[in-house]
Amino acid sequence: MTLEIISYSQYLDLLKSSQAVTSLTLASLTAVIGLPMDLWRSQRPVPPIPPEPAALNGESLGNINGDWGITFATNILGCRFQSQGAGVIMLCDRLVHCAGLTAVSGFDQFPDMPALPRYTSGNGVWMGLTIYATLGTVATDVLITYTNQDGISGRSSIIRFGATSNREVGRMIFVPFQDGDTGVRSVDVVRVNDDTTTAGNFGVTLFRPITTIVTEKAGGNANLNYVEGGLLGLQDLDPDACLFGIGIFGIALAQANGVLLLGA
Amino acid sequence: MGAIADLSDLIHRATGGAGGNPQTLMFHKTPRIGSTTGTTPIAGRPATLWRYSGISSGSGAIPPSGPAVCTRDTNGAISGWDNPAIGKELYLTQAFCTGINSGTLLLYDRLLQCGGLSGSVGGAKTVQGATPTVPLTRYTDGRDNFAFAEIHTQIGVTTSAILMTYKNRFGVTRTGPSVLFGNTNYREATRAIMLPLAESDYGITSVESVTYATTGTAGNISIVIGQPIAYLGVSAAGTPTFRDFVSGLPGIPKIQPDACLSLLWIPTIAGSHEITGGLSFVEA
Repeated sequence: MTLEIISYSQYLDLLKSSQAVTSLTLASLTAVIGLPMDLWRSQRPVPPIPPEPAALNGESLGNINGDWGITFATNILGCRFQSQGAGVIMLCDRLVHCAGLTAVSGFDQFPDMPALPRYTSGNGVWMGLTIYATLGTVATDVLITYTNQDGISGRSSIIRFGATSNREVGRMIFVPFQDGDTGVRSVDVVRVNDDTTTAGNFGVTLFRPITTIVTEKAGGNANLNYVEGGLLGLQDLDPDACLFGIGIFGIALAQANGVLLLGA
Repeated sequence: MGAIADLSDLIHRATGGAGGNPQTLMFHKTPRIGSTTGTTPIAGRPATLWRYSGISSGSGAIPPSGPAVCTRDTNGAISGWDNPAIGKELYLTQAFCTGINSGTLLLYDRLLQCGGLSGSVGGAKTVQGATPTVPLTRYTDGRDNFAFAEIHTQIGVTTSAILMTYKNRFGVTRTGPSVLFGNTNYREATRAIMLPLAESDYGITSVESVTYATTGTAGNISIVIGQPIAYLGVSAAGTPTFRDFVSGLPGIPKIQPDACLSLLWIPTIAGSHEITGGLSFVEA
């Protein structure tokens, strides 16, 4: 077995919410308690808001595993983890994403995203709407039309966003599947039914959940692994994976950091 | 049928050795049913998540009239996992869940459902009947099976009581004690009202009928038989729980082939749920 250790950190820091993002200061997010937050832009180096639809891989700026130098499939064996609050980080492979969609539309928007670079059938792939700039205060339905894991287009789902807890920068709103689907190959159309009153900026993210880091209590250094708990499964990690986190936290001001232990 | 020999064997299987086919399955339930915001659950009282939109369950339909076996292919079941290979068994080794509000999540195998019951017509209602033509296909010995009334459309404000006549683990017909049915806290859409067993029983092989008086409004009710698999607590908003069945009770649960994995939610407070969780399996 070959072992390699990679380090990563995730910061959600209310106190720095007005600071500029520099190479030394991480992007700031206000965690909405109990709801998923896309941590893509809360790590170092901070990636830009996606300038255009893109497929992602292990070399994409923003992935946790940047420059890890591994060219073979590995397993995530364990994690040493410290967090200011209880919470979950879902470690996921970010496959494709886009930004630049508007929350004042009332018309069809076409993400025009590239094909999935991994998990190409779409089976097990989730879709989320990532908010990059705050949306408006009026809640509205959003109709998402997608192609499922069998290549059947015209599948649809409705979520609701806008208003408190569903408008904040960093919120990722998971999009449920239509009955019978087990994944998503592409998102084809996004239609915001009504004006949330602020255009904001949001995009579509397709990702494949890999495992989760679960800490039930704040503080302390936790050793999480398959046997002692806290780390779900002993998951394979594609060498081209673009690893990132989705956080669901118990406090708004959260800083979490840790080390993943990989083996193959 | 296989068994996990020891911890080394488990780890070996969890990395894909010995045909372990390790699987990790995440799930998510929104507080909405299609384009409609769901009914706010009632503190301390079970709510069914069957019809809520989710990943990767979609949204379950209101069950049609008459008994029907539920499987992994029934809309509303958590899907996206593989049945075990022939001759092997599937084990749930880990689970976690978190949510926007505190409460307890019950992962269960939905074995059978019977829909189309009315809350405005009193008397005995046949579910599977005295001699079931639609019997259970999983957990057929009945051990630990439980039953509940699942309200899909709100029933009336007249306080009634519901009781269940069923066959126990030994095929003996028994009638359980009645529980409240209808009126506030016992009438709302998505409420799951547990149906108690008679003294000394600890399982159900079939539900012959349920009996209640009119609540004044028809609504829409189903009777469901399930098998509990795991309880997952969310102690506070955003505070997850992790269940390690390898080192913690109740041992490593088996998941039956074609299981209809489903969720009940017992909230601590009256507030909408939004739940994310995950399951980890191996075969042996």
